[in-house]
Amino acid sequence: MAILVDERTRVLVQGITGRQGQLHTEQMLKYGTRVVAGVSPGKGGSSVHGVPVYDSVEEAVREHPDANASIIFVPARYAPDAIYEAVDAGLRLIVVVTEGIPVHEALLAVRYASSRGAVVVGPNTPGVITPGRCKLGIMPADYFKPGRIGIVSRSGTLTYEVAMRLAQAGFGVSTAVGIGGDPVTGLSFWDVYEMFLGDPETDAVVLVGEIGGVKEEEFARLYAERGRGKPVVAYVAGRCAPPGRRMGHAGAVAFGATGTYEGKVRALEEAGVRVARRLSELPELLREALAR
Amino acid sequence: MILYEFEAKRILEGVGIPTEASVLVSEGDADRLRELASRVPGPYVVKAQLRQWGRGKAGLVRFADTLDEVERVARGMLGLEWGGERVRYVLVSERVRVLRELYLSMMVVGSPPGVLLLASGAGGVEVEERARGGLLVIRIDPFEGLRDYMVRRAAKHLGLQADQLAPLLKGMYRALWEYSLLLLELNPLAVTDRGLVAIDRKAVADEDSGNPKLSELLSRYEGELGDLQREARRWGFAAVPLEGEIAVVGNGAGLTMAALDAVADAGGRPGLFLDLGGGASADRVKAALKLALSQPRIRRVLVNVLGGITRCDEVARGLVEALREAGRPGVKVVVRLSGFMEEEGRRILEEAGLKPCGTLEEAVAEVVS
Repeated sequence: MAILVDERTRVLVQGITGRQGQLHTEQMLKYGTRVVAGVSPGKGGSSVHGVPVYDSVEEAVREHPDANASIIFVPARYAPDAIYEAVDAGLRLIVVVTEGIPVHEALLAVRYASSRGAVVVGPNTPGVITPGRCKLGIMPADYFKPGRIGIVSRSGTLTYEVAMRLAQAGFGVSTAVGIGGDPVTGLSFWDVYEMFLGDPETDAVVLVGEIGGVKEEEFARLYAERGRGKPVVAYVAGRCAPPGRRMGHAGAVAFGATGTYEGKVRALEEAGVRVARRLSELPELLREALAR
Repeated sequence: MILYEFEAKRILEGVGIPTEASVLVSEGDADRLRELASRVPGPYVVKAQLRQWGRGKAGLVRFADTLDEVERVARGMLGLEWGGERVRYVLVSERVRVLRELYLSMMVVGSPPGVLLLASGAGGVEVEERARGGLLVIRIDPFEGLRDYMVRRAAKHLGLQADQLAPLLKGMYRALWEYSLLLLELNPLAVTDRGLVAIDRKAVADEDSGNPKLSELLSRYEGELGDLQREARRWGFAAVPLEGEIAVVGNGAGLTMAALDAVADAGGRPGLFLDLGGGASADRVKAALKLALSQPRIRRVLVNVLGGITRCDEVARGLVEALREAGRPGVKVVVRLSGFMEEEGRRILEEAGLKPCGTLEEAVAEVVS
């Protein structure tokens, strides 16, 4: 079980011949992820770390019909096209690592993917990892120990920090999902929570949010409305960030009253989600939530 | 990129949304202020142009009845520093007689992907005020676009005729796509005896869009960046100057924000947020530390790097080099480094007289002490 990725995941890497693509293909292979093919227009016939490279996703999928997931390392300008190509070739799980994709283009690409029943993780995500079984992403695997806590996050390195703290406190991770740091992403916190809800290997969920947008508020509304199947504890970054300033991620900026730290914490707490004020409080809150 | 109000106004006018008569006065035009303002019929509203929210409460939107008053108020605003920003422009607008204030906005959202249309029968600065007018939320699927039934719903909610509201909503939706806007807000939208007039507005554009229609706005924005932000952009860092004296340098937006919060929580005063992005190569960490050290206000620096597959020993060498090249006496540098070759990295730091910390908490305690 776990969610999104496991030992049955067969990966295709789009943009495999670039620096990032090569590096992370190697890292994924080292972790035991089954990377079956790569795509790089004009580089068909070559190979990267033993993985055969094709000119198009369609060709790659034809030669490797078992491929069921894609990870995209294509530069921002070409990344939307790569998403459409993956969807049209029939892939149903697409991880978009690329940062800086124009938001309106991402909006259309992600909407198109969902209309075809494909799940887009990202853009601007470290990916997905089910510790010990499959890493479809760029995260340093050492921080993630197998276990029964689901992580869903808008962040990259902050997710690693959280996973590391959970591991030190004796909690392992069922699956960790980075939904991405951009304003528009394929998955919402709720989408991922619902997957965890249906996963017998997940007991509780840690939600890692940050200022900007309304993703945390949306989750809180749905969590309050649709029942609280599994406990959720949260941490929200950006309490002392000044309003109107983009804090690194394109999505991490509070505009006026929208997307503030206070608004998010209030919404989450009113929905019954305990919010850790400090990262160090997360394991304790998790322990309490599991005991209830 | 938060647009200036006058930029948003021009965009709205371009899509046929009625606005008030106004004239823009830049710092350089200050001596022609009266002449410029006289082109607008009085009485007046004088508005400082800022790339942030909250100017109303700060007294940076002022009424003026005469040109003398306009001159006095506008001169007082130009060049003023507020929220880390200088007032470079003021907008002198005619004061529209308002019968009723409404709120309308559109924003791009991710879950599910689409555009939210928000409408409230009460305009105003505070969300609470808007909520009193009842906030209507309509989700627009980008595949279907803005439909007439949505316009009818919004019109009914606002107590307007649908054909009165339709051109506004259609114009807003068009502007959102044409100018790659993430947010477009009419607040307030005034009901007047000559129809609906958008008398104040806010817009946020996607600076990654590569949209040629934004190039003029983007170059104005970039021209206003200080040396710190310009240098940061060159490296692909995100830098946000703050009020205090502690620089927080880290890899990854979320983690660096968390470190910033932890510093503030421990009683420290953050003076700089500097995110070098997810990849923490030695040369980038070095450049980031040098940049932080180049800020005169900064007295302490917290470097928080979660390395992962990056080699900590190389990062440590980069930090030591940065200190050798740009270190300032009396400036304390605390480093938290985690990842591959961590022990070796810590040893290198210690040899150079730096205090390596194993956890964020340790590092924060050290930097604020």
